[in-house]
Amino acid sequence: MTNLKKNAIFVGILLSNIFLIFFVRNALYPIHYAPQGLFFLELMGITIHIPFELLLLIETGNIVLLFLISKKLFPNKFSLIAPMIYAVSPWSIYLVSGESFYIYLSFLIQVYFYGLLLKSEKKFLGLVFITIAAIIGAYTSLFLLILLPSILCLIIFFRIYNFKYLKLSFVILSLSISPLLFLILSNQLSFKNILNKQIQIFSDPGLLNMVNDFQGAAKQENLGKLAKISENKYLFFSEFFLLKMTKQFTPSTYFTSQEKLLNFSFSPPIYLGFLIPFFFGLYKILKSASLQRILFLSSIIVIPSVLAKEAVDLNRLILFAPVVILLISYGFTELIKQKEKKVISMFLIISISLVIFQFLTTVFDIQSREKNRFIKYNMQNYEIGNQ
Amino acid sequence: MSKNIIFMKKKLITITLLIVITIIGGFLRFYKNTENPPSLNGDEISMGYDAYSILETGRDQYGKFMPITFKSVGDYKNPVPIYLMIPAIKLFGLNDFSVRFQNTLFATLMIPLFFLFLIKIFKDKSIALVGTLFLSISSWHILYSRIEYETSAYIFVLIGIWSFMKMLDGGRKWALLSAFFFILTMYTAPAPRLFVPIFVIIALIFNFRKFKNNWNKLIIFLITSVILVLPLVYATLYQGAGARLKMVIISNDIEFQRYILLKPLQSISEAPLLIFFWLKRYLNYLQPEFLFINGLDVTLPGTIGLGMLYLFELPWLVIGIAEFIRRKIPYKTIFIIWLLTGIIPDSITNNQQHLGRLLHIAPVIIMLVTLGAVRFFRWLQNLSNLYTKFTICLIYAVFIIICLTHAFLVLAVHFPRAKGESFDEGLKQVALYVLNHQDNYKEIIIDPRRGIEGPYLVSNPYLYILFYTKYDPHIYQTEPKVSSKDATYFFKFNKYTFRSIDWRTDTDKKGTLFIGSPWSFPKDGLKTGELLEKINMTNGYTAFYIVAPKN
Repeated sequence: MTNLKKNAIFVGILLSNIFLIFFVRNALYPIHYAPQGLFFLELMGITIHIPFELLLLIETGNIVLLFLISKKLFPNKFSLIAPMIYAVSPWSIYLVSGESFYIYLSFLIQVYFYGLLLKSEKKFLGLVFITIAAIIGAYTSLFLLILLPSILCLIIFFRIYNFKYLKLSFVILSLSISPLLFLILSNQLSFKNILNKQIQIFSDPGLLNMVNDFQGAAKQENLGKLAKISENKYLFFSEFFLLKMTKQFTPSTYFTSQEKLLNFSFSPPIYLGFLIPFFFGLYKILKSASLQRILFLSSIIVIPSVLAKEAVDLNRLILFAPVVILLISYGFTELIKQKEKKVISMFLIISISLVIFQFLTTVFDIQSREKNRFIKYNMQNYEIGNQ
Repeated sequence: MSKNIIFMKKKLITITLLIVITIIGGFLRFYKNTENPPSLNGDEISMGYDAYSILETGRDQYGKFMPITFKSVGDYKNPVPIYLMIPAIKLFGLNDFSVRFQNTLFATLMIPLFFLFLIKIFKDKSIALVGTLFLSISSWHILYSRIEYETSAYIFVLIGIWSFMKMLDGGRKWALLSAFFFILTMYTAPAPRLFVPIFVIIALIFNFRKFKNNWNKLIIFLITSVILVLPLVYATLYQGAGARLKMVIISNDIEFQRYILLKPLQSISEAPLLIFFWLKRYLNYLQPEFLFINGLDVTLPGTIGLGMLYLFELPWLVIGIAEFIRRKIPYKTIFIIWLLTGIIPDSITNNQQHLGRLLHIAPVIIMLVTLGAVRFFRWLQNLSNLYTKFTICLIYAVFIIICLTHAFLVLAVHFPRAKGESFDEGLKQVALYVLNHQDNYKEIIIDPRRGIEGPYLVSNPYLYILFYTKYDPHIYQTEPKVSSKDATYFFKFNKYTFRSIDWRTDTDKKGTLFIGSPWSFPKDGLKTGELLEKINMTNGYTAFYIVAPKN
């Protein structure tokens, strides 16, 4: 494939993404997520939201970054797969349409990972990207303030990179973040509010009620002591946390409408046909220790979703979407490489046919039912513009 | 000589361990199985009376001679569990124990059988013993062993698949055996009726090459299967046995109709949505809360109950899957097909996910956990640092104990409290009260609607009356009965009437005994002495009032 042809396809991917965003936005009522401001401004009591037009631009940036990352990870001829999957999947399309703040955070995380990839090639530009993404990330989101440096620490801990190359980045990062820490210390009340808004996992009264009910029932049967050992709030919370954590890695979260986009949609975050390359990619990764380590490392990005009130928060989990999509691309790449085998080519055909079939079904469904579905889920009829 | 002694010693230890594990498994399944679950449910009671009826008259409750499917309460039950119940009823009489006995016995027998299966596959005693232990303490298997739940079908599935595997490499007798057990399974439980054909077709496609030099065994397998399945096909097409499938098919799912399609399925153009809804359902079986937290549905919704596996088995399942992929295992494709097609029957029904309808895949799931556990133990064994080894052992042992204690409390304490109503708790006491006092009344009226807070459920109390009064099946089959065909439930035989109670008119019926939920009667409208007895459930709520109007 010539570069010109490839670039033309890429532009086509970008345009189709923009088209789909407007298609969804027009098909639905103008609903959007509760606006979220930038972290450092919220600390000072100033609220500035990211407008839709800027989000659209950032989304384009996300696809470009995914393309650049793919180019680094996969052979050149397969680098369009990941941006294509991302661009046509309803996940980010719905979130951009709903003006999700996490699209912007996803962009920063991708810049960060792209920086890490460049750094692995010993390019100085990588260090620049890592530092810039980490600083902007820290100032704009509490999650990124914790996550991005943690990833860096883990990279050093697992000896993926040598610390001496990252020393400079650490020094600049520490110096740049210190005013933010000062801001946090001087606005503790605002910080507490932000913390409560972001970390909702502890605010579930159902857990305590359950513990009381269970212990009460066991006490009536003279088994109260046993219940205190095995049915207390600490254990149940740990189990609950483990469950939430596991749910972030369940295929149905990503490939079905089990968790509903914008809390009502039947569109899956990623088309189900991609499940085959996803599993194949995962299967291949199981055979490579270094890839396993990288996958494990990137999995900490699911933490914001774990800390949400719902079992899975697709809005927050979009941060992890590039990892899933890259895994699918990896699987696809491997499937295409082995397409001479009959079974593999059969899987490829099933996968692609299913994606096309579901894409058409979803587009038709969005056009004909999503608006009514929204009304039904929300039990009331919203008029356009009167929300 | 000494080698022989060591070999014999090892064999003896293995056999002893297997016996111990089977005894533990048997104890966990038989111990107080008539008290917990708290009552025979509607299906059990119906099967029990049908078996009794067959024993006494050779006909079911509708007077049909030795039927292939039992009409029961209109859901056309499978024949094998009912016929298997007959010896127990003959031996122990018509009671709760005899109804559950054959099921519990088969479930216990599954334990040593699973050992044999694992040892044939892996040729490794430790894997076989660990797997057997997991099956023996599995809350999933224990729960359905204590209820009359067609567990014999899952033994037949295991033998059927084992014979099928042997057929691929062996001779004709395996083809015969495999076909026999597969079809027997289809006569035993509803889920395998769909599982068996799908499994067989896909497994044959993937193993077609193996028949190239020996088509005879394939022909024998197919001919035997077709001959044996014909009566069932006939019953399904012409005797109403297909009614159940129509009732439970996924297109009738409430979520699908209300929230996905926004109307009932009417045209083929809407089928793509149904397909994706089904695929979503299918993948839901991998949800961690279903697998580890509340898939067993033994506690109230939103609480931490029990799933298909214990939480401590989670890491082992993950390691087990990786181990299954990496390791050379005979009949690997068969196992994959078994697991993937095994989910299909339950996933295409409109009910919520039901672990009982997945019991036929239990051997594969437990095998995966076993592979993970054995891998984990071997890794632990090879750790050179004693301190690390001890710490990991201690932490994991504590974790296991906590999980098992929780499981014990859930099954012993929370389950009877949460699910008493689903098991029609209280109707046994009602029937026994009727048995002891019926001579004092000219008519007995029982309201079939029930529910703690309102009339949410409709039960079949007439079956409890038939069962616990040991009502003569000869008389029941031949005496006149009155029943309404419309939505209002009305059924009458002898002096028993089953209908809604309307106290405004019923209060005048002297000499009649009324039994209904507390809300069947006016809150403060009962006169002193009219309320003869309250029947409470394990959770303390009152299930029934027994009332006789006074002048």
